Amino acid sequence: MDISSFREVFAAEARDYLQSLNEDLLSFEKNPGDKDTVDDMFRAAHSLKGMAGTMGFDVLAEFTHEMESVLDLVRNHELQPSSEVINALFGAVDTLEVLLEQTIGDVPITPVKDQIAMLEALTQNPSQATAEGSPGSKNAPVLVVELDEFNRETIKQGVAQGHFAFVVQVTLRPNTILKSVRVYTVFQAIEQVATVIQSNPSVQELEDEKFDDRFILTILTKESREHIREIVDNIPEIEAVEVDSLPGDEQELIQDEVTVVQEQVAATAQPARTQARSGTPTPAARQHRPDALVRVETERLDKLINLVGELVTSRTQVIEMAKGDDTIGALDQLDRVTTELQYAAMSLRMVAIKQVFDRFPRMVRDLAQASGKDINLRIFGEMTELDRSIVNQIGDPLVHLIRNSIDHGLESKQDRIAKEKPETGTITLGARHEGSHILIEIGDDGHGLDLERIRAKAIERGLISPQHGELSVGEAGELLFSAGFSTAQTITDLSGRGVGLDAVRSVVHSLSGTIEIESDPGRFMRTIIKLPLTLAIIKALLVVADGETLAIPIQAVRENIQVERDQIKTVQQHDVIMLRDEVLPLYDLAECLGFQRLRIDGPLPVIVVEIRGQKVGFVVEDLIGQQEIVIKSIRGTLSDIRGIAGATVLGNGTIALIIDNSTLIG
Amino acid sequence: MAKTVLITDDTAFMRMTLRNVIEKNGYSVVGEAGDGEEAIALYKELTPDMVTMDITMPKMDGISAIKEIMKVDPQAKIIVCSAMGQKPMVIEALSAGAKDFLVKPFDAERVVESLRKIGS
Repeated sequence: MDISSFREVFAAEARDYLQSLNEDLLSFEKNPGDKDTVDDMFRAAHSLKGMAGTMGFDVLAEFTHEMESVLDLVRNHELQPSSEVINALFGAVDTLEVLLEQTIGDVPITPVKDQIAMLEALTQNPSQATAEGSPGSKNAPVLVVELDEFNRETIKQGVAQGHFAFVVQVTLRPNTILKSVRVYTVFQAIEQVATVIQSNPSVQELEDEKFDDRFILTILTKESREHIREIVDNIPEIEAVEVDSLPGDEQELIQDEVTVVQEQVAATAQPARTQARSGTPTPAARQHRPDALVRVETERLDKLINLVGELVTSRTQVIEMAKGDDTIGALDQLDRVTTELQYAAMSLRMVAIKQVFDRFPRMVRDLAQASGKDINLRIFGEMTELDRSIVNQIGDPLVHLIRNSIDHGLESKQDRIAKEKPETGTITLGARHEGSHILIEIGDDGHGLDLERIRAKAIERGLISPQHGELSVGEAGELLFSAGFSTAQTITDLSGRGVGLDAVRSVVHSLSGTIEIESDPGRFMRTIIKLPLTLAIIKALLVVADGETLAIPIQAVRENIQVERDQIKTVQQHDVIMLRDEVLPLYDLAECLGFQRLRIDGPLPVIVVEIRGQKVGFVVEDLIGQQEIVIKSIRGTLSDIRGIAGATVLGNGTIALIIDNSTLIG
Repeated sequence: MAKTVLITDDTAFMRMTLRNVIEKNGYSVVGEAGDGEEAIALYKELTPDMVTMDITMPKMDGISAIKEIMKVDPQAKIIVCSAMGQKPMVIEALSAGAKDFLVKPFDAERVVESLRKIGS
């Protein structure tokens, strides 16, 4: 197994978490009453801890654990989010950033005892949380390049004009005489081939010699990284010089992937990492990860796919208009090309789920060791492709589910022997395509769902009434995934404090997916996550209600039927019909959306839709037909309207609302 | 071929110290100048690979000499030598075209490093 591929996934994800922690802290500072933000932060810290633990990055895990504990107190109102606490948390995130980069870069880790003690002081003494100073300040000063808006813009333009943006970190030899003049010679040398955009510390501070031995220049140049390094290295009294591309977060902010592409050209020309001599490695410098791919912002891809989608829509329209016409022959070609273009564009967003699965062997190994169980991990379908944005979000839920299987699913060795099961437990992790969906399956051959224990727990938590009879597997699954339900006995590194399965479910739902549990108590349990292959284009059935065109996602539609008025019966004051011996409740689609109730004579067109396993019929005014539509989300005041998932532009330019079945009826 | 160096300093003692260090490290001292004017004349005559240039000297100071030499030969490799407290002048010398600076009292290793890097 290639350990570096976990490292990259881990690093990328961990950076994302730190980023979101930072953002959440900022908004929390402004609005300390916001419970959702605290919950988010807590979950982020929790996930980060878990990830770090499974990678074997103990210092990182330990530190995150301390941070999580503080957040837990804040979450439960046991610790007032005073400015000291918030500062401490900010400091903790900074420390984590340094720790993360040190860990990833395989450089010695700065001791964080002070910072840990500081967080511990908060948790042990919640009532009077007044510690001195922020933990970050006790660190040896770490220079971090953060560009201001103006410089960022300058770099963006420079990059667009074919310059490279580099971060040049220069360390002067200790005891350098006339440091500021030495810095001046560095500026002089660099400015012959580059433009210095920013200096950290500032030029003024450098001139006044208010810096230790190190400074960082952010430059724009047409020269290669190696050449810049050589130039600086050729200046006397330079201890070390390191030339790197901009840190990842800055690159994102500049939002111009041109940098990356050109960076790679430069990197190919000069593959040597450009650390001069044996200078001290620096945590702030982020290593550029070379790969033979051009990375493109998802946003741009989305735009392309959107346009392709619209092209497909207008093609359909044109073909419709040309039917029976001579031009149809020429349109066949257009049809073929646009269809291919559509698939090609979609495929750009697709990545193999392998990049998520790859991290699990190590994790399972470590968890097996920690729990003293023998575990065999079986992976299948890892080359199955799905939408990149989904891949990015599905990692966490899978971590939770696999941990759950190991922690709660598989029995101990002795128990397995006693049950005459193979001593080694098996965890399966697989993916496969099914129609326009991908199914991800996480299974174990442990004792399956303990229906009785889940029932007892659910009663204790007030989720079901004590009179509730025996649970079905489906019901037990539902309960397991509901908020606040955790059967874990103790807080361990493996399982959580009641975060986990409900978070799994909300992620899956946010991806328009479903989650299901299959279990044969005593033998196995399987969690099946069903996700759409893409979130950008869907097939929809177009219908008319109260004169408005509406799109119903086809995946939920079971059939279309015509209903005569005399077939409609009333049961408990609700309209129903009998459909092949099943009672089908009828709803007027227009009425559900707050439109005018339908008044037409003659047979009613009814769309049978499956909502949460139940079939219901929607009466509509007219049926237009099937079409592929591009989902556009609705933002602002109109977002979150019940029953509406978004909107789409149809071939003829009109706008159709997309129905959200799951929230349409209460 | 050893690289050639012209030493410029108004005190014979400093010139001797520098010559000592420079020659010990495989460079060849082709001339010594006692002031700026002399340095310019010797530069034209000897076309040395490098020049060490004191700042404070009679007749013509080091900075004026650097400017003149740069006019004659824009590729000239001049290392300016200063005493403590001459920071602004060092910067002036550097912007006039000096390639590096040394601060008295000289540290032998620094002198050699400077010659090596500037001479390359």
